[in-house]
Amino acid sequence: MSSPRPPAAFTHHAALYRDDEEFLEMAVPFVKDGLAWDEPVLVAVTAANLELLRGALDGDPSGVDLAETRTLGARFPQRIAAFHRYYQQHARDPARQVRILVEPVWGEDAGRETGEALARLESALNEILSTDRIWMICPYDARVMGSQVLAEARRTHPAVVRGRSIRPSTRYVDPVRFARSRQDPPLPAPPAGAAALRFTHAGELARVRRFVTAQAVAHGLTQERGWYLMIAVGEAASYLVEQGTGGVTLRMWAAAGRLACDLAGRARVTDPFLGLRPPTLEPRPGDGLWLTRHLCDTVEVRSTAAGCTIRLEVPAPRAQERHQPDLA
Amino acid sequence: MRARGDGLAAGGGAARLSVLPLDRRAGLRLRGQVDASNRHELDAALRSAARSGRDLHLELADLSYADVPAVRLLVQAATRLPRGRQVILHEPGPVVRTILHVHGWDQLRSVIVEGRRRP
Repeated sequence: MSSPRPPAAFTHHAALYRDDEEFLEMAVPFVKDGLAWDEPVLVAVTAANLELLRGALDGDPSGVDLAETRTLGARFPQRIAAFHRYYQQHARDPARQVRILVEPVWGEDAGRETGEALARLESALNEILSTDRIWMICPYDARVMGSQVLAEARRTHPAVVRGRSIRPSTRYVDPVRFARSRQDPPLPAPPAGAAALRFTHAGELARVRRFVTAQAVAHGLTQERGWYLMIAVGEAASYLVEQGTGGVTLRMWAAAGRLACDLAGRARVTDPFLGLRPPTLEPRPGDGLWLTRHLCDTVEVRSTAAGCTIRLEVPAPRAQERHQPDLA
Repeated sequence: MRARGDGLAAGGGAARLSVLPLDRRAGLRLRGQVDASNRHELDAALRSAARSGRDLHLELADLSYADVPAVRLLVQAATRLPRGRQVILHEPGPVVRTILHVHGWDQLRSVIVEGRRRP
């Protein structure tokens, strides 16, 4: 009963394939070996590859969970949560490895997500899931993905798989270094007419939540979406207040069907993965931002020597109508 | 312990929490809001309530807001109970329910969530 916990064990490989045959040469043994070892296997690939794999495996073998990759969500936090949850629910004991074959969401399914967002996610996974015992292979379709996307895959996966052979990627970049090397475009400044509230202490957080709720109502959010926004902002506000670096300014405004919230303060955020690590029962600074990232469409964090800004956005369906009279 | 103040109604003030013992079983009725300003009150109340050594019932219908660290305290109260004992969360509102769900804490064996209502 006292077997030691295995060491940090996230194993993350890319598979760059050029045709159906190359896809199957990698995917079929990965799945079959997993079944032979009694390891849970999640396959989340494109609809076309799902069909190919079903054919090659003679249907849906028990022990394999098959899904279209877009059903895991396109956004960063959703996908991290999907992988982590699959591991938690299927690992059964901490020594058991879980296999995940997961194809990037690409093309129309990716929505606003871009190649840049994909590279950042792939790189961050190495750090964020480092203690989950997952062997993950990410197939990249070389027929539809540009050479730049494939080059990024070599930077964001420690090894590349072809068939059954695994070769270390000589281009691999440490995830923290990768994150710091990317330039975030500056956020457009909030409009002059944005509603604003300044606060400093934890005792003012209730006032912050009332302000957000009032703004949510004013911008026509449903009651449920208003709650989500209130708790999303609440965690971000609490994080900044707990840094103890003085006043924080909250601004809210609607633009192009979206309701935006800016929290700006003097704190310095050095963690490039703020709010992206799955929280546990052990509290860690900033882990409330996991909730914020789940409840908002986008969460952007910018930090400089002068201070930091956390910007959240949620859809505000009626915002545009409401603002049309101003444009006349 | 102050038994005043429903957080939502309290004009411009800070979050207020009221904690009352239950009449017929081991546990607490929580009312109001919990955030970084008054989390210590919740922590103290839960520590003292866990001393009964029985299943701990928490009635949450009137807890209109709790932040992530506060919900973690509710869930972690189970670790202070004797082995096999559970924390039973009764009628959590939309905020607590959302936090439980997003963190997967409603799946813990030591925690039972009862009276789920759609908002």
